Amino acid sequence: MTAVRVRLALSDDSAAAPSATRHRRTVAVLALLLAVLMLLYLMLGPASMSPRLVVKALIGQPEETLHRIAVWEVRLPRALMAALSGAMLSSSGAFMQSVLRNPLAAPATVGVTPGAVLGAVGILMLASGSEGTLNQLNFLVPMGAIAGGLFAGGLVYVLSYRRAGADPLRLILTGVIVAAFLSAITSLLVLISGSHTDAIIRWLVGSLSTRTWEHLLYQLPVAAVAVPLAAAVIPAGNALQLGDATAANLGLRPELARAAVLAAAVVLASGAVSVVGGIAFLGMMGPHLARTLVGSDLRRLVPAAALIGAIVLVAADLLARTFSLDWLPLLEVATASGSRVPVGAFTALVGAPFFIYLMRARV
Amino acid sequence: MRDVADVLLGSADVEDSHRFIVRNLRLPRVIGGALAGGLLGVSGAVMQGTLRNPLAGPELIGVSAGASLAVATIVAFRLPFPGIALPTAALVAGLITGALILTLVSLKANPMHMLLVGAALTALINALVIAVITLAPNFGGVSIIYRFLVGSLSNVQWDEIRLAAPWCIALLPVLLLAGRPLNLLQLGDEVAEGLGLGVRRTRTVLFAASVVLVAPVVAIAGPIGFIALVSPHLVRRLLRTSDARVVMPVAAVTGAVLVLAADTAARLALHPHEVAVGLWTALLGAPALLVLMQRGILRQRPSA
Repeated sequence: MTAVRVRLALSDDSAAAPSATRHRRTVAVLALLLAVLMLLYLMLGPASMSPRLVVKALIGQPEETLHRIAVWEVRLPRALMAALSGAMLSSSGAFMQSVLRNPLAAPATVGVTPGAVLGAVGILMLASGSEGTLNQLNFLVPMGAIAGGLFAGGLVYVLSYRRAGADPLRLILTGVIVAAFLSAITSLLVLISGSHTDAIIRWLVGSLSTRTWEHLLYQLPVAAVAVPLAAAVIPAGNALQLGDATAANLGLRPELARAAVLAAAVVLASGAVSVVGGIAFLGMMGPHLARTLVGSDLRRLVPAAALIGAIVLVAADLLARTFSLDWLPLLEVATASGSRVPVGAFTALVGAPFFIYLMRARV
Repeated sequence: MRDVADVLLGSADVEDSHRFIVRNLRLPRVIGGALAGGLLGVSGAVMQGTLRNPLAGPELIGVSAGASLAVATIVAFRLPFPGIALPTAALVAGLITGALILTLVSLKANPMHMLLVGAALTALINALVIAVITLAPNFGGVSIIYRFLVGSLSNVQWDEIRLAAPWCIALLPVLLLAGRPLNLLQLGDEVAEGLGLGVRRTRTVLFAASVVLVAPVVAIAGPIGFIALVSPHLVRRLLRTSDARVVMPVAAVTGAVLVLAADTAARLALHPHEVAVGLWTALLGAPALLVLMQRGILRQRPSA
């Protein structure tokens, strides 16, 4: 905790013109990297195509209809959703880590992700009861996720509230326990899920398969609410990073400011989960990587974390889409079963060593 | 009731179906549940004493999840291991996870810190378990998820008991020998050292022992949560003692009772569905833990 504070002070000392341009350059490089990855994402897949073909398909002059379908109907919406969700998750984590002053804070550890997953799974369950109304339910699943995420966030906040307010450490610990509880309820629902088990499991780990424009359409309004909200709370978050006392001296009411920043973080995370499911560790990883690049000032940290989150999720989903275990004859993995690896498995695989590295670096 | 007694006593005039149900389905499950609960209870008591952390429990610091990942990998991919190797694999993975978390978190740190790191580690390993399950060639559906993520006794048959029983022998030396060092460790490292205890070595051995107790449980029933964590606390509260020589055996009995109660509820509550026992323990254990936190068990910080 002190480390964060010291680093913040350092970065502010050196926040003169040269370092500002350097950080701006870092962000530009990240944006470029994301663009390249998106292009790769559009190119690769069962039907790979050259950049020229992709561009032609994008501007509406495809050489074959197949190209138009592959790019416009399948890959583009999925890539956009991966980028948007990754950005939202990661910037949510950036807010949480700053305001709770704990490197382990993340949407998944404080219960927001499990709550959102529970909401989505709950709606899917209702769906298994009524078969004919699938379109309507497609719309309801993201709504359920958002409601679940907000509910879990509010529950954790209320449970950890004391006379003096909700102190950061108690918030996180309550979050961990509430997360365990909500996950148990989700597993309970899986039991009575009947025909939707496979879809539900993909929700648990996080997956982008079978997502189309429609899903992006549901996510956009949430993003439209969350992004201005996030931008508005950045100054408050910056002040809180310096400690409650300093924030109070700066004319803020720390408790209120913290609640506002956390609310923004919860909306961001729920919006992301509403489409991709319970992606592991992106919300914890992204902000840490961003902090090593641009420091702890939220004005730079949040955009950088958002870009890194987008990059990681697009890359992970590209892997998930193109990766197969066919070369592992030992495991006798069924080839054409259509059971692609969910993208959450990849983020978890990357997250494990990263987490260990992170904890070692702190001790 | 009478029917059950008749079957168990081997009396002649019982229906065959009853005999089959009791002998082949329920009896192994009851024995397995009692064994699992007992092992978990002792393991939790030893672990909390060893790490001097009231929140230590194999399920919270990632040991159960690590062991479960190993078992899930072997079962899901049908790797060529004999069944007898399952507890060993669980043990090795559990020890690795345990060693990992001990290198990540210093014992002197706030006990909450270990809970936090352990929770993160558990979430991570669980994601890997789900990945393994979805990758498995023959996706086994709900029951397999239950078994490896939350713990379920529904797979426990006589074979599984035979697998786990030898490990219960490990329980005896722990019960007999661990009491004194655990009591000494409670006094703080310096005092324990002064009383002639090799603190480092004792701690390593005892921690390994607590993992040894968890491994067979995970191998046959999965990572049943909250039993190891809660039963020592219950015992300490009810008996108003923290003498490890008393707490350990009573925690074993308490753990067994808790698991059996949860499993009975699991079998009957949503009949005909069967809820995994680990779900009940989590649904009841998580609020219990919240209450314990509110009551401030954590404020009694061990004097370092």
